[in-house]
Amino acid sequence: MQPLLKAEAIHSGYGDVEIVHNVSVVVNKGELVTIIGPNGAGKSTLIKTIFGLLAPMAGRIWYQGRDVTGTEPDKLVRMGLSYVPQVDNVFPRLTVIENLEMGGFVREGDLTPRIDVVLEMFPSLKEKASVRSRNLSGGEKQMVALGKTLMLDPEVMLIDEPSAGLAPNLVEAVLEKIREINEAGTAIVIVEQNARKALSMAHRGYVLDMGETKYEGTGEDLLADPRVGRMYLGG
Amino acid sequence: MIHEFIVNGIALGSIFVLGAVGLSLIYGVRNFANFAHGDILTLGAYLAFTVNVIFAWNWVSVAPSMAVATVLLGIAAAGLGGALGLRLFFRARGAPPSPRRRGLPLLFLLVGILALGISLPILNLVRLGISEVALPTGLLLSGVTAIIGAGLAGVLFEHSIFRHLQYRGPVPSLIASIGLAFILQNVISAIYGTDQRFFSVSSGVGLDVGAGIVLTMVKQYMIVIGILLVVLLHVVLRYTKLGKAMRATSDNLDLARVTGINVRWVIIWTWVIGAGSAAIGGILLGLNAQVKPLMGFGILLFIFAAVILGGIGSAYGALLGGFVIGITNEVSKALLFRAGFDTAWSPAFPFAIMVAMLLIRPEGLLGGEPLVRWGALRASLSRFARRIRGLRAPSR
Ligand SMILES: Nc1ncnc2c1ncn2[C@@H]1O[C@H](COP(=O)(O)OP(=O)(O)OP(=O)(O)O)[C@@H](O)[C@H]1O
Ligand SMILES: [Mg+2]
Repeated sequence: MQPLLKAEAIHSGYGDVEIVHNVSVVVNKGELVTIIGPNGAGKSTLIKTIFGLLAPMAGRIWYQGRDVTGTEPDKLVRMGLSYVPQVDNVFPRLTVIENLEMGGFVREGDLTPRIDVVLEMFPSLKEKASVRSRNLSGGEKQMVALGKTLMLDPEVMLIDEPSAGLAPNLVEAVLEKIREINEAGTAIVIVEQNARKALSMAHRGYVLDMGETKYEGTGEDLLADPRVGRMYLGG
Repeated sequence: MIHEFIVNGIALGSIFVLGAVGLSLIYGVRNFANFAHGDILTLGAYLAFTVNVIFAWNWVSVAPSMAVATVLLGIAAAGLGGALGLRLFFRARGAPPSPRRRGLPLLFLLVGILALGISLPILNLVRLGISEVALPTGLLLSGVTAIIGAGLAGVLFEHSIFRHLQYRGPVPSLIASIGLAFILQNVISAIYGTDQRFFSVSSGVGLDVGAGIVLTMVKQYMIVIGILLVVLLHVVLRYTKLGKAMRATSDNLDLARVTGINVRWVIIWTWVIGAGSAAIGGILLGLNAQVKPLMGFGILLFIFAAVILGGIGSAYGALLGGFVIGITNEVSKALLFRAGFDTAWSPAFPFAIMVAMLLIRPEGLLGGEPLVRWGALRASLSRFARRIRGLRAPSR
């Protein structure tokens, strides 16, 4: 079966500095793929390269069998790919509803039914519908960021550290939501600091360190691998 | 007598409002202070002036009651146009920006303003009969030419200059805009000369607003158009797809891009709306006094003060800021005169208010975001300095 999304031997970085060296990632339809690794490993750089925000120095990106290397982010959005940045992932001065509307910017027709569907998935946002998102809590903001991306019902979501800076109980809630989204059929690539939790819910995972793929395999295998445990899961 | 200064201040403030709106919007989506904005005002005034000397543009005399009726009718017409437009927009909500729909917000803006301009002569037609009234060809043509011309000029500046500087921080764009300001001033001087010019209009009939104050026709228009434009702009920003996308882009351009918002389209409409309202301001400024090459540059700092006071990106902030700066400037003249000082000191007062605002509440009265992001400005400045040093350093 042809993979939904494939990043092939990616070299990428900023200016002349190469950060990511020869990394390949495959995402099959409906899969939840986790990328873990220490701070500065190049996880965000890799995701940004896949989403067309950075041009790869070498390597190709394939989506549904098409070469999309160098395609502009807004085109990728129209093709069914979406991206939730690690920081600043909501429009602070727009209300929750307006954020969702912007998420559906490229969608045809009336947005109201889709907004209702998304609010149904995040019931806690309903009563905050007309609150400016800068006045929301960290967890609520992440929910808006996810909901905004779901407005287009994407095929693949690239999510960069959704739990960064959240209280432990909220981390649980956000990751649980992501699993729900995946179970509803959306393929997901998630970068996560909470490596144990992320691997346990993932179909497959990659361990990135110093810009290179150190290990890859199913979530279970990686969790069980003593070398991964020692180096990347804190013992 | 102080009343009169307040009224003058409101009229002058309207011009600041018209300038502040565009400056603030452009700052929002492009992140730099456009020093050429005053000269876009001037450009608008000269464009209108050019049409005005070719086609006769004249006010028609009306009785005060008629003037009031006219203004009300104009507002009603604009409101109707706006409401109709809104209905269309709600129906189109969420639709992709097709070329037809993209133009709607600006169209409503124009319709509203034109409704105001048209209603006056029509009323007079009804009242005086066809023989006595010149049809306002000149009025319409001058205004529309200036708005469209300035809007196109804004798009041209964006495409030829600012687009290429967008990833280099606020300083290169800012310096380029200062250069553009001088270019515009000198091109205008070269074409029209540096003499003061006057629109060919008769003064019309004033409106007695009580307390012995008679508002000239031009001042009536200044005040009404200033307020009307802000209300329309607020409606556009709050309810239309373009307006929401403008606010989103202004909040976070990178996020807007990855969300799939057509950022180029947003930026272009921001220039059209910003430059178009500046042109209206320029025409009113020229009507109120005279047309000259430095007219816009001369009030640029007042416009900045209005933006800082009101807060970036807020339409009502621009309204409030413009009026406060305008009124302070005029009223301080009266106070200085009474106290026996030279009235030339008056601008010190509005700018004192501006400085105080920057120190106490840098995000302005109604804005959500500081105008001056010191950190970003410093980073950009040092990057710029490094580049210049790099240019001077001997190559090894
Ligand atoms: N905009 C940038 N310009 C230059 N270098 C950058 C930029 N962003 C990141 N880097 C560098 O690239 C390297 C990898 O950064 P990246 O953000 O990809 O790491 P990460 O794995 O996402 O880390 P974290 O877990 O902290 O988010 C770091 O050394 C960082 O300093
Ligand atoms: Mg990261």
